[in-house]
Amino acid sequence: MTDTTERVLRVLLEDPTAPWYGYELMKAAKVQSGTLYPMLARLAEDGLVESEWEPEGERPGGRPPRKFYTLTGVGVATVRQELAEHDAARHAGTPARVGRGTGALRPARGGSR
Amino acid sequence: MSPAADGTTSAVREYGRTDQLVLRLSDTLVRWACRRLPEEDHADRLREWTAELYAILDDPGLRSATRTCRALLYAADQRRAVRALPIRPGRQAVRIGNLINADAIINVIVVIIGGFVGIVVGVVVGVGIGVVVGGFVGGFVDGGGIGFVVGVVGVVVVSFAGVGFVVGVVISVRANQSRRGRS
Repeated sequence: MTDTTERVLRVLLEDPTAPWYGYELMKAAKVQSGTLYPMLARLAEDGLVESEWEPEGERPGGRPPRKFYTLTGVGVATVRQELAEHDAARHAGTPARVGRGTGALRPARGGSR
Repeated sequence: MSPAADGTTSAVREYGRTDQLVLRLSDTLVRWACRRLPEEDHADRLREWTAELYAILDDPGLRSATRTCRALLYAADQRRAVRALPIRPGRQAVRIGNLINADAIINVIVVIIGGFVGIVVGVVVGVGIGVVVGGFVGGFVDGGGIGFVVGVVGVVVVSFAGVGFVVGVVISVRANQSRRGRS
């Protein structure tokens, strides 16, 4: 797990049910757009994140609808576990698993949704 | 911070001339980046990223100049995003390289160059022989024979040019075939 991925996942995990728009995620996790969207796409491919379009009623003035991202149930369980392991490894002084993008993350078994 | 409650999406305002220009520029950059996406992803990503441009320009926490820079940087960085997006299995990103068979182009170029070189060699050899023949014949005939000499030279030049072209093409095609056989 890269530092960037870790930051994004921690932000998403702060409030797993909250909808996060790309720009807000960029600001909160301090990630550039060119890094964020491929990462979100990989997380979505792994079933950890899902996206939805902003409902019609929530966008005033004809502004285009935005897409928001949330962790799935499986995503919450997996990310929680991964980050806990990551933190434990960091505190123990052993090198944390390093992967390209989200490659080191795989859905936890037995998770729901 | 919950994004739904941060106020960036609730306020609607009139965009000034600068913001309109920034929107237009950013939109162009995003569209440019999205051109490389597969057709099935193109509209979705374009819609998503364009909407985020409005959100950036509506961000009340930023100064006007910062908003402008951020929107432009956001848009410009989507090119990198498109390159790094995972390609779904069985689908290919739309790239010029995928649309054109590079090998076929190289073959055509090599054949043309080969033929051209053949023509040049043919002309040089033909003119050389023509000059020699003309000099030789000129020693025996007077001015009336010049037409004959020019005719001979012309035939020789054209013949060599034709032969040179054919030889050039054949050599190029064979070289291509052996190159393909190795790879």
